[in-house]
Amino acid sequence: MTTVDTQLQATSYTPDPVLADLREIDGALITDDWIDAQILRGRGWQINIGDLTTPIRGGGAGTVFDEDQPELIVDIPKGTTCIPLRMHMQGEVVLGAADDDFCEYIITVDRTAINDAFSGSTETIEVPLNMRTDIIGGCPLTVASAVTGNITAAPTRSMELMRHVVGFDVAIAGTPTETFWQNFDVLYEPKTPPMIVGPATLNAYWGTNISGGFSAFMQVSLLAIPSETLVELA
Amino acid sequence: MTDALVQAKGYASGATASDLKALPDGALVVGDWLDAMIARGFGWHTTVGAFSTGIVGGGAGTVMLATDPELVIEVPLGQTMVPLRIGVQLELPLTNADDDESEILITVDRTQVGGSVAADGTVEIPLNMRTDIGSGCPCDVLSALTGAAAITPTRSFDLAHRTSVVDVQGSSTSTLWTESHLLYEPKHPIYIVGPATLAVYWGGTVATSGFAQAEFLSIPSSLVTELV
Repeated sequence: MTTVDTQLQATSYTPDPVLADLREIDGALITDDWIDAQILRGRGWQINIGDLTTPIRGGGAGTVFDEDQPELIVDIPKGTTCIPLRMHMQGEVVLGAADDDFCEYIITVDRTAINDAFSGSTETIEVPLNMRTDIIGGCPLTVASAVTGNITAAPTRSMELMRHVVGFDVAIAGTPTETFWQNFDVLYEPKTPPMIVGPATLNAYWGTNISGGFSAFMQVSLLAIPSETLVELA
Repeated sequence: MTDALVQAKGYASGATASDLKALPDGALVVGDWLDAMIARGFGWHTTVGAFSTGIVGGGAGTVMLATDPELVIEVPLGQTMVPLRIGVQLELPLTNADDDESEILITVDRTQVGGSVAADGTVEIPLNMRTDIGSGCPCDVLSALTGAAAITPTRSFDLAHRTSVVDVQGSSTSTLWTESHLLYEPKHPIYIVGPATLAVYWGGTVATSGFAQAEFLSIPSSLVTELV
């Protein structure tokens, strides 16, 4: 038996692929995550909802969830796969009106259909920006926020990716209408994210049963990659 | 049968291939590319706030104002900045009234540097995350800007946000908030290709002081922009 020294090389992602020497530090092969490589290749997208200091009021009529009126809709067309990387929501919770009041966040997936042709009349059209900031435009996803009228096709809640609920009750003999809520944030940043193959929809909601409504900000990082990267796998 | 001894090149100038290493039970040892960049001296750290004295946030010391970031990291043309970890901690003051609020925001202007100078705020000298390396950060970093920023950052997109609202039973004055802090440490960071700016704000309807720590890579953009 003989031993052959083999210096490792791999083909680069550049337009004219070249063989690149693989590198090591103290005997450790230096590697990069496949998802990070997709971001470097320009397939990561960033969306934010809410203004500098003004959040978006959640809920159907400004209060509880309405499945037809998400606060975020990401339509994923056929041929594209969406991988949610990071979804962060921060609420400005309101006065409690009564014991058992609640505020909620939810992120859902409709795994079979996109929602609507957005007009901008009852929602805000969002333009995703690339996570590699020298790349401009070209996101294959259609994104809208702050839906205030029912979308044409109600999303089917195929799966929930995340839910966060806070209830409200005052243990002392006081009036719940003048009572303090804690901070109410939620971060969905899965270690092993789902791969949502279009046609499909990613939705996010927030709301409350309190008449004053519940407003929040949101920042979203996701990948949009060609589905052919995945669907040929067995 | 032929055994292959796998080797890879080091990063040193003129380096030849070295043997890759394994644990005794056969696991190949690997290192993260971002960690390798830190090891090579591309990682930087900056701190905002003194040992026990925070920076008062907001425009006139109160609510957040786009022209008055508490931290800007200006990424010049030819450099790409990768935010690794940004932590902000507020010292929330006594409240004045119900519905007082306090916020933290991390944003990116993806198209320009502000061109801020020392007169606009406090010049910060980033330290290398490999501590044997002295100065030389390619990015200009300033803190506590007070309205004279040469170019107001455009809020292309937000990376993270934190908001706190207060209400109490009875008198809201002289009431204590709960803690408020924000840690942005993404599993998959963005690549901010210069010219661009990362800006961090905090503030509130009552004056709010805060501290911040930012760790980031600054790498040549050619490592990024040639990829397709």
